[in-house]
Amino acid sequence: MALISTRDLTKRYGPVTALDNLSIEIEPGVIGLVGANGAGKTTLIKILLGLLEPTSGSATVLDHDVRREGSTIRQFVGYMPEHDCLPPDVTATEFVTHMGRISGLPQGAARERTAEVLRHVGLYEERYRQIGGYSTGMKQRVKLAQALVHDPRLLLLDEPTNGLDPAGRDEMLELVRRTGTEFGITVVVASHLLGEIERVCDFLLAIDAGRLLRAAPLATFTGRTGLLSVEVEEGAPDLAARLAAAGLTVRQDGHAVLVRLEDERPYDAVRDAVADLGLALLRVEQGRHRLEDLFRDGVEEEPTATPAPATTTGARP
Amino acid sequence: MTGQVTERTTGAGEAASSIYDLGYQHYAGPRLGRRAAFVALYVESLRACFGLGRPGRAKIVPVGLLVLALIPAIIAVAVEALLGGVGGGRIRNPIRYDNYFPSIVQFIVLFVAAQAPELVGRDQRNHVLSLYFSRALQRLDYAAAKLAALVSALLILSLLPQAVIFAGKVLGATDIVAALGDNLALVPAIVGSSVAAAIVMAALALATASLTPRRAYATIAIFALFYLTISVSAVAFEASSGDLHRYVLLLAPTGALEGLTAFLFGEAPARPLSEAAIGGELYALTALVMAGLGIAVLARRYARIEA
Repeated sequence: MALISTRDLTKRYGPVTALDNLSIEIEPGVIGLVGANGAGKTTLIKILLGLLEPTSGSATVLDHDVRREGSTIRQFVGYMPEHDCLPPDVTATEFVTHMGRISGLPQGAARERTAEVLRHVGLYEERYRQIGGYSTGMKQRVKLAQALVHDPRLLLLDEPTNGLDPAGRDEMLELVRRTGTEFGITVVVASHLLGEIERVCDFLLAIDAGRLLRAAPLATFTGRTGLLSVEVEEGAPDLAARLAAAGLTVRQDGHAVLVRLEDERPYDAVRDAVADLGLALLRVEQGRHRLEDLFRDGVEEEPTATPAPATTTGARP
Repeated sequence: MTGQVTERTTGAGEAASSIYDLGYQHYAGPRLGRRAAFVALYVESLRACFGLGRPGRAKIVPVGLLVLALIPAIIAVAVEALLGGVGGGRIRNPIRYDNYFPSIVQFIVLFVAAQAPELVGRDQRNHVLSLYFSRALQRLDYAAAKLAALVSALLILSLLPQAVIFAGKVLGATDIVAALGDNLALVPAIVGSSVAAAIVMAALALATASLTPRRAYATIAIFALFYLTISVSAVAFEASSGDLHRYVLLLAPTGALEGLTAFLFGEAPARPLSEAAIGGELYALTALVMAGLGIAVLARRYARIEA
């Protein structure tokens, strides 16, 4: 049974549709939820937490219905919002302990867990200082700590690297990755930055304008394409013509010629063609999918080939 | 020696790294759920009413007001001690249970004006609500815990001084048993009037404060709610005439509560209420409506507030 499952989930704010018949299945792991700002990531997270009522459709988290059993779900889910959410006039220890108690932990357990998660996120002496004096990086750590204090089975992180400098981003991503892989907590990371998602996640959900673009293991997004890219200094048109004459399927792309690879034959043909024409060969490499292509293609193809959520529903292998 | 030192250093390094790596342990203990979350929030909020668990400057106003609310009680005990032997008890102590609420009502208004925005505005201002509502707690639990905390704080503010008077009267009496009997007979009226006042004032103040995250606006609005209504109803009472004009005094929450308190003690209220001659049941009904209104506004606010 999936950890998170939604069926035809729709959320409208007046005339604006934030989620449009979204059907997804999420299995344990570190899951990236990518999409541009306004794609519906935050709305989806808030519905899963029971903070927002869906307009239609249904969703279950840990086999509990979000509409009817929100209270039960929330005991086992940790949430780190995108926005600031910390009072400035208490210490990190006091705040995280309080949040642990609000999650239902007894007093003593809340204190112990607080010390533990604050150490885990890398706050030491600072934990006895008031949060108002913290840097953005430290505040983000406190936000993560309060989401972890009750040892959730599922962690929902909304833009966890928001406002961090590059070093802070690296540290936060490492924390997220360790939380997911070493502690066995399923983590859903929402981000508009593909580069970050790529570094920590093993499964990807891409949404755009409230609809599912694609759901698949990360490898399939970045795997090899069936194209060989041959880059030359000049004379790319000549090379393309020569290769086409040799019976290959080719396309010219600036200084590069893209050759469809079906077997080993094109390699020899390329070598011969480049040598015969006396071209300066810069690079030969097998093309890779890039995450950016996902959105570029998605946007370009949308009018003709709209991805149907029901069929691309992500069942993980 | 050197080898030992090296070994120890290595050992410490390993221990540190293994502690770091195994640092995260899953929690297998009890999860107490919604009720425990409610109690935890209530206790935290009640402490916050008096600035406990907050920086020192947060304690000045609430603790200062608590002291001010206690002063009349201390005076009352002193007066009791001095007058006890004079005039054979025919001279009445000016500070009594039945007029204690009117004598400290301004401190209670100042208290709710200062602390209600702190209780509900702070979480709105700092966007903490989404953290609360994403836990076992529900939206209305949050509002109820905050209200219960402020009601409790106001009960401390009004019952503690009356307990001092009680202790003074009983312990200072020549016949302690008789004094205990006399004073115990008044306990239902003392508690009843204090509970009614605490609920009405807490509900109205918290409902007002919950409507804005801005502290200054909330404080001004609470002042207006309690002080403007007094002046407006008094002026309207003087300026108007006819069968119904006396009921305008019920528009002021503090007026209605003063009337209710006097009624519960079987005493006549002070001017201008004494001139209006409103029935005690009407005061009780007014207090009920005001508390209900405050609770309804508060509940509606938190049912819809964005988190």
